[in-house]
Amino acid sequence: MSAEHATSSPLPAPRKDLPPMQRFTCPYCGIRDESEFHYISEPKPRPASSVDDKTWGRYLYYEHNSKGTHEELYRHVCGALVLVRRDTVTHRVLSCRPAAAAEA
Amino acid sequence: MPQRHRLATGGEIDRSRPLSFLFDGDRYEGYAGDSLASALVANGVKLVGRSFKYHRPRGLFAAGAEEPNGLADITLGDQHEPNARATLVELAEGLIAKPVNAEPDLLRDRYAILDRFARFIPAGFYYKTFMRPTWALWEPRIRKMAGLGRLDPAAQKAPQAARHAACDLLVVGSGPTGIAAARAGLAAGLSVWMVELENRPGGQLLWREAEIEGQPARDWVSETLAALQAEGLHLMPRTLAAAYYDHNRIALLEQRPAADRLPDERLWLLRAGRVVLATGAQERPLVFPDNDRPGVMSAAAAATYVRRYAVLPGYRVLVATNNDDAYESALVLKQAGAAVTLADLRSNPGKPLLAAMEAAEIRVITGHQPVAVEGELAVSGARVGRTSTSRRRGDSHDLDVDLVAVSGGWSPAVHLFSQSGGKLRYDPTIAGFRPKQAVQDCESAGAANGDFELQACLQQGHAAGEAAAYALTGKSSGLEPLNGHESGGLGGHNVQAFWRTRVPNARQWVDFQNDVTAKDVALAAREGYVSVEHLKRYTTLGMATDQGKTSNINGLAILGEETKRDPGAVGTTTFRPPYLPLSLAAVAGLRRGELVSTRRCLPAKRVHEAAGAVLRDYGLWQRPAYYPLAGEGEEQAIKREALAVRRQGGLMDGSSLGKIAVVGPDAATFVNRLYYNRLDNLKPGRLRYCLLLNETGVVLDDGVVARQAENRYLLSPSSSHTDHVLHMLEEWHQGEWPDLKVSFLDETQAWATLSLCGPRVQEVMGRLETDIAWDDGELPHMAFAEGRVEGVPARIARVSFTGERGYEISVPARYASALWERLSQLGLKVGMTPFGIEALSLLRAEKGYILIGRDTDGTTLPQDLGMTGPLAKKEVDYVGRRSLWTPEAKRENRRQLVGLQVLDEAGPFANGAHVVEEVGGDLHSIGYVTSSFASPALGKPIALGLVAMGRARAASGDKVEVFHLGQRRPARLTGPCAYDPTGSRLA
Repeated sequence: MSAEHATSSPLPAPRKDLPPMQRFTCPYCGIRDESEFHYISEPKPRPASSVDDKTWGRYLYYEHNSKGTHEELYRHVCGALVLVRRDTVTHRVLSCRPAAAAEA
Repeated sequence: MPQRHRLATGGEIDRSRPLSFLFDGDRYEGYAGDSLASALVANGVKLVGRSFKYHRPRGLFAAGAEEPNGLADITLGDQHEPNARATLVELAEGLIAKPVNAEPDLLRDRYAILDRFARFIPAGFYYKTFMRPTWALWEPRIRKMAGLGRLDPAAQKAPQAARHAACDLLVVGSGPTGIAAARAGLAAGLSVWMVELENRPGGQLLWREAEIEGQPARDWVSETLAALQAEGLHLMPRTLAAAYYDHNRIALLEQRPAADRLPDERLWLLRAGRVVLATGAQERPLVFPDNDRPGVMSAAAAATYVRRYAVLPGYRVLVATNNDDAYESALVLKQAGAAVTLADLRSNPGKPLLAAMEAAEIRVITGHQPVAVEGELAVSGARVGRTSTSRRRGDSHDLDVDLVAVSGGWSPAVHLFSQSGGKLRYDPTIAGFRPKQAVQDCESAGAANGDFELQACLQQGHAAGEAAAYALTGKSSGLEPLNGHESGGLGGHNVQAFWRTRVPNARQWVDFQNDVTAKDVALAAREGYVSVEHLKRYTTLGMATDQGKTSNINGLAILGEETKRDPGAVGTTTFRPPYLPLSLAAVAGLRRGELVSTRRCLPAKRVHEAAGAVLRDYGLWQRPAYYPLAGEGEEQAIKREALAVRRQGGLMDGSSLGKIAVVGPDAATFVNRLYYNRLDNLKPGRLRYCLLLNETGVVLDDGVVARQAENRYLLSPSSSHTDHVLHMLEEWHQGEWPDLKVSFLDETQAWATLSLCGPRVQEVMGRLETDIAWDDGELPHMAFAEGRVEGVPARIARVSFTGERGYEISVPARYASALWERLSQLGLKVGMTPFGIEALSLLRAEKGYILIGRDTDGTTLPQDLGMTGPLAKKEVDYVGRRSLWTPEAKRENRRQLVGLQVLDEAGPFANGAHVVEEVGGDLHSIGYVTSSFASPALGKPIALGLVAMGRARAASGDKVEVFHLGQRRPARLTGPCAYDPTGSRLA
C-alpha cells in the first residue's frame, strides 16, 4: 500500500425493498424514513355529539398506549395520512395503510 | 536531532514530504502519513499531557481511538479543534497542538504541585470536602481548574449539511473481519457500506504479520478493497460510527481531508438493513505501581508505531504481559532494533513462545510483574518482581529501559453492540466481556466478538456477511470463506486474568484520563459503592472524553476482587453514545443561525427595503415591522403610521396571510363541518369572519373565509398558522370524512395581497385601472369580486383588520412589487403611507380585534371571546362542538376577553401583567393583560385582557387592579373595542 490515503468511493443507490424497520410506507411515496412522518394520534372513532361528557372526555384525552400491537396515525410530509400498525415491544412495523381506506 | 526515533525504512509514511508542526510551543518535523502522535514519538517526545485531577505527567498509551492521555487543542490556519486525540489527528503542515491541562506548558504546569497532595484528595474528596459551607462557594474555583481543552468560538469549521441514507449492510471496521463480511455481502448483491475510523483500512493487519489467501496481509487488504470498491462497496475511511440507535439507525461522522485546513466533518444518519460489528478489540493496560509514567505504553500500540509509522518508541524495552499476544509485539520491537526484555506474569508461558523468544534473543523473565517504574517525565528504568501468586520470594530485577510496553489482554470493542441494546457476558477464557445475543439486526464478528485468531475473524466475518445476505434477500454469496493465518508464527491469545499487583502503598493507575487508582476503587468498595454504576460516579472511573476505553474492565474487575465477586457478576457500566466525542457543530450541521428554520420572504421584499422598511421575523415570515423616515425612531414611526391610517390611508403588504382553496362538490359540507361558524349559507362573492376550533373547543385560528363559487371556498388562516390549518384539513378529510369529495390547494405563495385602508383610500381606488365594480353598492363591506387590476388578474376584497374602510387587492405574486409601487404612487396625493406589522398590531387592538395566541391562550373557547352566535344556532356537528357543552365550558368564572381602561396617568399597562383581586388580604390573579398599547388616535393607553367573568364585570363597569413588578394600578373593565365601537368607519 502506498502512503496515499484511502479515499471514499461513490454512493450506491439505496434499495427499495428493505425489510421493516422504523420505516413506514406512504401510499404515495413508498417506503420512507420514520423521520419524514409526524405522529398525530391513535385512530379513534369519533363519537356522536349527543354522547355524555364522560364518553366525550375519554375520546379527547385517553389513549390505549398498548404494549404489543398498536395502531397510530401518522402524516407523511406529502400530506398523506397513514395508519401504521406496529409492535411497541419489538418496534416492528406490521402494516401501513392509507387512513382513508382504513376508515372505509 | 530531528526524528531520532524514526526508522530508516518501512511504514505508511512519505519521507519525501516532511511536515513542520508545533507542539506545546516547540517546533518539530514529521512526515505525511504520520499522526500527531506518531510524529511526537518520532521526535522522542515522551511527555504529551497532564492528567485531569493531579496534573501528573503522562505519555502516549495507545495508537488509536482508546488513547486516554494524548489530548490536545489543535489549530490549523483559522480553524480550531479542541480536545483532539493525538493518535487520530493527521499531521499537517503548520499544525499547532497545545496539550490540555497544562498552563503555561507541560514542563512548567502550574498545577503540577497538586500531585504532591494526592494522598489528601482520594476518590470522593470533592464530594466530602466542598459541601461546607456550600458547594456554590467553591464551584467557581474548581470549575476553573477542571475541564478539558479550550473552545475557540471564533474559529469554526465550515458547516456541512447532515445527510440521510440507507443501505442493506453496514460493516463497522475494515480489518479482516469487516472485509470478509463486506466481500460476502457484495457478492450476494447487497448494497454495502464500510466505515473505518482511521484514515486507512486494515485494522490490526496494519501492523501484524499475516498471510491471507496466500498473500501478505497488507497487500491483500489493499487489493481486496480495491476490487470490492469496483464492485460497489461504499468505503468511508476517517468515519466514526458514533451512535447505534433503534432500528439500525446509525449516526456516522465522516471526516474528509481538505488542503490547508482541518478535515471537513459531515454527519450521516444511516438506516442499515443489517449491521456487522467488526470493531476489533483494544489492549488493556496492566495495573502496577507508577504504570502511568510517560513511556508506559500498550505493547500493541508500540508495535503499531513501529510497523505503521516507522517510529521506535523506545530503544531499551521491557514488555510486560499476562498473555501470549504481547510476544508478537516484543518481536516487532526487537526486529526494529530495540533491546527487549519480556516479563510474563505467568510462570509457564509454554515452550513454543519461549523458543521463539530465545531465537530472537529476547530475554524472558517468567512469573514476574513490574513493581516499580523510574523517571518522572520519561521512563528511565523499571523493576520486575515475583508475582504475588508465586511461591518463591525475592529475585527482583532492575532493568535499564526507556519504554515499558504492557499488555493486560484484549477487550472486545463492544460499545456499539451495547448501544444497540445487546447484553454482554464475561468470558474468563479471554478475561473480558463479549456480546451475547443481538437484539437488533446486527452481528458482532471477529475480535469484537471475542475471537481474536485471524482465521476465526475471516470465518466469522464471512458468516456474518452471508447471514445478512440471507436475511435480506434469501441469497448466498456463493463464495468460499477466506483462509489466512498469522505468520508471526506465535498465534494464540491465551491470557491469565491479572487485575493489579499487591505491592503495598503503591499508586497503581486504573484510569489514566481521570486519575483513578486501584486504591480509589478499593476505597469506593469499602464505603459501599459496590455497584459498578456507583463506582463510576464516585471515583469518576470511565468518565469524560475517554469513557473508560482502557480502564473499564480493570476497574470493575478490581471492584470484583474487593467485593469477592466475579467480573461478570459486577458487570459493566452502560455504554452510551457517542463512541468518541463529536462536536456539536458537526451535529448541528447547517441547522444554525438563519438556517435553523427556513425564512419566508414576501414577493415584494426588495420594494419594502427600498421604502426603508425595518424587516423582522414574525413566525416563519419576514415582514416589514415599520417604515421609519430619516431620523425617526421605532416608536415615532409606528405612531405616525397608525395615525396616517386613521386620518388618510395606509398601504400594507398582507401577502403572508394564508390562502387555502377548498374545492369540490362537497366543499360547502366540508368547511361547514370544520369551522365554528356556519359557512354553507355563505353566498358566492361574500366573506365571513370565522373561528376554527380544535376538538377540545379551543380557538385554533381565525380568519376570513371567502366563497368563490358554489364549489370553491378560500380560507385565509393567520400567516403563521397556514401550514397547520392545511394539515388539519387533510387529517379531517382523510381520517374522518374520506367520503366527502373535496381537495385542498395552498395558494398562499402564488398570490400577493396588498391592503389599502383608511378614510381616503377610495380616492386611490378611483385612480386604479380595473374592470371590477368596487363601489359600495356592488362591493359592500365583507364582499369580494374578481377581475383585472392594472391589466393583471386580481381579486378585490372589502375587508378590514384596522377598523377603517379597507380594500384588499390580490394579484399573482410576480406582480406584487409593481402593484405596490403603483399604489404608493397613486396614494401620494392623499397622504397614503406604507405601514408595517407593528402599526397593524396597534390598530387592530384599538378595535378589539384579537390575535390568536396573543389575546387567546390554550383554554380560550369561542364564547370566551363573546362569539356565541354559532354556539346557540348552528345545528350541524362541527370540529370541537361537543367540547363547548362540557361543565368546563359552562363554568361561570371562565376568563373572557375584555378591554382595560387605564385609570391613572402612568401610561400603558405591561403586557402579561396580572389582573388581581384581593381576597382576605391575599392577592389573587383573575386574568392578565394580553395586548397593551398607547393609542395615538385616542390619545390614551388601551389594553385587552382575559379576565375571569370579564364580560359581566365589564358590563357593570367594574374596577380592578393590574399588578406588575410589585405595583398595583387601577383599571376599569370595558368592552374590547376602544375605537369606533359602532363600526361606522368600515362602510
